Parts: sequence; structure tokens; C-alpha cells
Amino acid sequence: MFHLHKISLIAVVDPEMRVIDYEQKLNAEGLTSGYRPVTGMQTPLSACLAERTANLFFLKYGGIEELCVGGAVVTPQGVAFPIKDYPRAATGCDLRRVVIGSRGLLGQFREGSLKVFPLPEALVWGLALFEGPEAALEGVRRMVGSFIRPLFVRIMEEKEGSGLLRSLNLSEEAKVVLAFKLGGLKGMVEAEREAVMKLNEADNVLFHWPVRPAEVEVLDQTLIVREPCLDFWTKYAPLAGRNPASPATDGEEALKKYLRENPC
Amino acid sequence: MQFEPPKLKKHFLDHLEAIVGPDGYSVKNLDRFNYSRDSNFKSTIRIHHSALEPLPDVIVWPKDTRQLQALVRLAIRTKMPMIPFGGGSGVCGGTIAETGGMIVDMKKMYRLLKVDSANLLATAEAGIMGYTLEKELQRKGYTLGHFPSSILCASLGGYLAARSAGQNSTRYGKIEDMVRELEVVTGQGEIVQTRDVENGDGLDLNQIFTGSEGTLGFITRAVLKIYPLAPCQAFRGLRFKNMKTGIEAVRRIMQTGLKPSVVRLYDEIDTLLFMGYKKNKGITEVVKGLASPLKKLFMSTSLWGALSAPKLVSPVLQHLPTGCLLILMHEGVERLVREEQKIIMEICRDLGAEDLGEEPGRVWHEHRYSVSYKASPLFHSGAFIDTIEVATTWDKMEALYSAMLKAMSSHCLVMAHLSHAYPEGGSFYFTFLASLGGLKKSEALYDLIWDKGITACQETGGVISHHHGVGRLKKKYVDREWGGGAALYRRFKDYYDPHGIMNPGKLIELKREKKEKVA
Repeated sequence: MFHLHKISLIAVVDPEMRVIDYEQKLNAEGLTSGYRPVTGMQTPLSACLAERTANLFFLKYGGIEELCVGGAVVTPQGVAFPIKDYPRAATGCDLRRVVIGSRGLLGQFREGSLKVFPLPEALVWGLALFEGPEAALEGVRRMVGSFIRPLFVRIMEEKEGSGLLRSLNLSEEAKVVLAFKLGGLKGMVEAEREAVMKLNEADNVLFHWPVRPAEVEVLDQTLIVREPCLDFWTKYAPLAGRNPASPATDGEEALKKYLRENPC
Repeated sequence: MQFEPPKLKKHFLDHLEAIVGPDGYSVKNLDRFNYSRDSNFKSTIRIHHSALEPLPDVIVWPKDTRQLQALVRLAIRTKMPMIPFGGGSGVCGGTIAETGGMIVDMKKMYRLLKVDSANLLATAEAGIMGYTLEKELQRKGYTLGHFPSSILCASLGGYLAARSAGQNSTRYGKIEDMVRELEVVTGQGEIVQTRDVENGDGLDLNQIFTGSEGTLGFITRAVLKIYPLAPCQAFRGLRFKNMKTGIEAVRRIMQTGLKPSVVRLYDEIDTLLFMGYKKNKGITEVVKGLASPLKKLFMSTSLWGALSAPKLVSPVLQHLPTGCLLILMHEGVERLVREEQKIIMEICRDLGAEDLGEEPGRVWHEHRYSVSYKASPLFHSGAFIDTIEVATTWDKMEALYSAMLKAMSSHCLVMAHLSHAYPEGGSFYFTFLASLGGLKKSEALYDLIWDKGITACQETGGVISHHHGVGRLKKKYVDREWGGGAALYRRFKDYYDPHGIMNPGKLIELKREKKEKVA
């Protein structure tokens, strides 16, 4: 099952579809899911919904719980119910966000309605060279606080950062390299590029904007495709005002226990 | 007016006083009367006719979470209904003591506890008023980005309990996007801490308690996302030929990935009213000529005459040649604001919009909180008023607008604006005015208009509330809204409120709802 509502930019999908297949179908229509699960593109959407799998591109597109706008759910007791597609409601708890991440305790999606987006008109990699990790963190904070939402950010300290610079034939020595990828409308990406430089102007941060296809390929492959990203959320969540995954509270454990004993 | 005395025994009051002290509660009739209603318009109709809502037995002002927990435990022992009360700005009757009981006013828990500038988070108690919270944050160089029109009289707890959305939600998100952690005293008498589960597995307790309208517990504290204050603001007004092209423009704007702070599209009648603001220079001669008489009509005693024949008046007003006004507000780094404006202007010009300059946007910004306070004078002109805010996806937007307009306009004057916009859809905010008759007639007409509007909304696939919540007003529609999903909420209710004392009669019909009250 795959159905596209082009006016609302919503795709209705079978959750058993792998993210990579889903993304390819959308790409053929000039669209993207905006979703790169940190568990890899082979992961089925059902697992991402059940586990609330972190999105590598969360800064720009949000997490899976923000991408899901409706669907059809079946509870552990076998009760099936639809959740209509809507952008937002103030009718009690949000059933979509309650079911997502519950590992099936409150239900599983039999059908998912997910937001989709136009493929970015422009994509630009940026490398900012900082004196230390704190300065680099401040650089990301400035970006996010100014609503500049890159697809991806990564801070690389000495060895790793220098290695990346060498692979791009850049001779600078830097203690910390902040790599980020901007995407969107051409005019906005250019404006964001200028704004990022202006935000860091006072600190004399050196920027590189690799544009040659070979450089872009190196960055895409090294940082997005091949990179094991499982610790990504822990590192970058605070920068978006989010807490990295923390253990369940006593209250959450108590509710889980009750729901196991009294399934829906 | 005659008030029934509160049905409270002395030993209950002794326990109460031991928890909150002699100044921490009131059983005075004046207080019970003042806390018998919120800002919902059905209560206003009733009070206009000297008809009372059910009175609470007692009003309590706890100072901290421990006091509140002790109150809940007392209420469990005595089967006393408990109703949370923030600023009283709710418009759905969510704080009415349907079966009497204890109103818990949270306003003594009002502190902004922490501003974490490294992670851009703020921690505050639930009783802090929205305006105070925002003012305190702005003093430190930050903003919550939450600007509901009720900001002057709504509390943080109310934002969370009723799942509020501010006028700038396009950029900053809605309250559920801002909340990171909560502290809640549940109907079990336990204190529950929630955590931020985004991008990790686990039950999202934030999303269970946000919007629960006090039916599961009291939200006492929240950790919220904040943003640095934007260095630049810009405004724009544009006029579209009709709603169809205006809706299409808003859809295109939102789907480019841009995030203007405010996007509001007014239909013909709403445009006319908006253009009537004295300071608004961005208007054409046509609108100038029309706005003033209509405003006078709405504010004068002849309103009753116009409202007595809505079937005749509505079609005339809906076809006025005013066009449809789009208000935009942009915030952020100047370079980004300029680019965003440029792209949006291109989209709007392609759809034939007329640029009205920045004045309409500035006028809207200046008056953005005042609309909520214009309703009361209408009662003296022989009319009542209310608003219905619904939401849907873009493919259903026009159909929903037309269906609700058609369903309601035989019974009242109705206007609407697209108030909140997102990439996948948006919210329509309908305002209706109808003639005020006797109590029974007015209540029947009020219920009929709501029923016509909400039924049309549900039949076209919309959701029955975008940001006002459910309360008493819309609870009869929630089972249809949630379908089998209501079982999930009922399971939470069974767990968190096993004694059935938490804000009874709200959000959804519960078969086992307990009517008795023993204190």
C-alpha cells in the first residue's frame, strides 16, 4: 500500500515497507520523507513507529512522531481503529503520539499517514573550523536558536576533524570541525549560508563550502551514509532543546506495568 | 440570587485547613459564585439571564506540590470532585464544577524556577500566568513563542491542560511541541514525573497529560523549550480575490518549508471587520465605505434586527467585494526574514494578490489580544457570540469551510479566518453572532449552532478543536472523533483517576462517571 495525497503532502503507507523503499517511491515523485532512521534505511517503518526511532534529519523535518499525522491502529486486544489525518487537535491526548514509541503496548500501526516534503531545491555542505568543542557547540546553538535548521550537523574533534579535512584536501589545522548540511529552496539556502557566517563573524570562524561533486560525495558517504549514528541523539539533542534519551521514570514504568496487566 | 450552602462537614474543613492553612481556602458565596464559570459563552448567556452554573463547594489555593498531593488524598478519602483552575480563560466550560466539589486554583504556584540558557529550556510552576512567564523570559532575552489571544488571562497549566496553540505556532510550534517534562499529581494521589521521549522509545506521558483537561491529574510544573528573542520582525498584508486563492497561497507558502511566525487569512466578513480598525491605512476606498457601517451595525442596538434574519443577511455579507486579507508576520535574522518575505511575495503575486504594505500586519499585531475582550458589549446589543476552531488537511480545507459556513449561516451571522497553518493543513476559526432571546430560546439556539457546525466539521473529516479544548462543550462529540481510540484514554482514566474525582463531566462521556458527592 502506498498512496500519495499531493495537495496535503501526506503519504499513506503500509508500515511494513522499509524506509529505503518508501524514500525511493517518494523521490520518484520529487518528494522526500525527511526521515533517516539512525538504525539505517533498511528498517521497516513499523519498527520506527513502534520504537520512535531517532531521525538523523530531525532538525529540519522533526522526529517520526511529528511526521506521523494519522493512520490505522490495532490494539494488543485486537481492537482496530482509525486515527484521522489532521495537522493538530486539542481534543484530549494525542492518540498518534501516545501509540508511537509504545512498542506495541498501546497499539501498532497497520497503516501510517506520514508528512512528506518537496525534495530540497538546493543542498549545501558547510564546514566551520572552531577553536574548541564549546565554541563549536555555541555555533550550533546560534544556528538552531536563529531557526536555521540544517538537515544534519556533526561536531568532529581533532583526529576525526583533521581526517575529514585531509580527505577533502584542505590544509587547515583545526581543533574542532563542525560539519553541517543545509537544504531547501535555493534562495533560503543561500540566505542561511550568509546568516551562519554573519552569526559567527565576531569569533573569526573559518568556513569552507565544499561544492565539487567529489567533495560532496565524500561528505555524504562519510557523514550520512556510512556513519554509525546511534549516539547521534545523545550528542545533539540538547542543542535542539531536547533531552537525550533518559531512563524511564517510575511513573512511566508503573503505567507500563498496568497496561501489561490490563491491555487495551 | 440565592445560593445553596456548601455541603461540607466540619471535619473535612478541619483537614483542609491543616493542609493549606486558614487563608488557603474559601467557602464564601462570592468566591463560589466567581469560580462557578470560566470564559465560556454558554455561561455568559446563562448569567445574562441570572441563571447560575453549578457552584463549587470550596475553592482552595495550594502553595506547592506537596500541599496539592495532600489535597488529592483528602479528596480521595472523601470522594470530593476536584477541578483545576488556572486563569479562567477557557471557553469550553472545562472548569465548571458540574457536580460541585473543590476548585483548585493554581495561581499561588506561580514561580519561574529556572532558565537554562545552554540547552534553551525553562522550568516553571503551572500557576504562572502566560503573560508573566513571557515577560520574565523576554527580560532575560528569551521567548516561549507561545502567544494565544488569551495570554493576559491564561496560565501555563491551562495552556498544557487544554492543549493550547498560540498565534505564532507556525514558527514556534504548539504547547505539545514545547513541553519537555512535566510534574503531575494524579488522581491516585501520586506525584508523577514525565521525561522527554522524543527520538527514543517509551510511553510519551507528556502527550497523555497534555490536553487531559484535569481529568487525570494536576499539572504542577513544566520544563519548556525556549528561544532567543528574534532580532528582527517584519509584517505584511495582502489581499486575495477570494478564499479559494487565499487558501491556495497559504498552502504553497507552508509547503515550501518556510516558517513565518503568523499566517492568517480572513474571509470577506472577517476582512471587513478587520479593515474597520481606525489605524489601518492599507485599505481601499471600497472597503472604507463598507467597514464603518458594518462596524456600527455590529456594535449598535439595531444588531438584533439584523440577526433576526440571518438567512437573508448572511448571503449578502458573504459576497461583499472586500476580498480576503492575508496577514503575515516574519521573525528572525534579518537576512532570512528578507528572503522569506521575497519568496512569499512571489507566491502571492502569482495568485493575483494585492500588496497592502506592512500596515495591516502591524495593526493586527497591535490588537492581537484585544479581540477576546470585545464580546461582552455585544450582549448589551442583544446578541451573543462564540467561536469554533477546527482543523483539517489542505485537501479538505475548502470543503470544510464551505460546509460549516452553510450549516451555520441559516441561524446566525458567521465569519471565519484561517488562523494557524502547517505544511499538511491548518485551522479555521469561525466566529458566530446570533440574537439573544429568553434563556431557553438562547440556549437552544446556541446548542443548535454548535451542533450544526461541529456535525458539518466531522462529516467533512475535520477535527473538532484546534486549540480551545473540549471541556463540557464538545464532549458529546469526542467518541465519534476518537472512535475505538477512546478506549486508550479510558484506560488512562481508569489508571490515573480510579476514584473518579478528577474534573468529572469533562472531555468525554464516561459510563461510570460518579455523580454522588460525599464530603
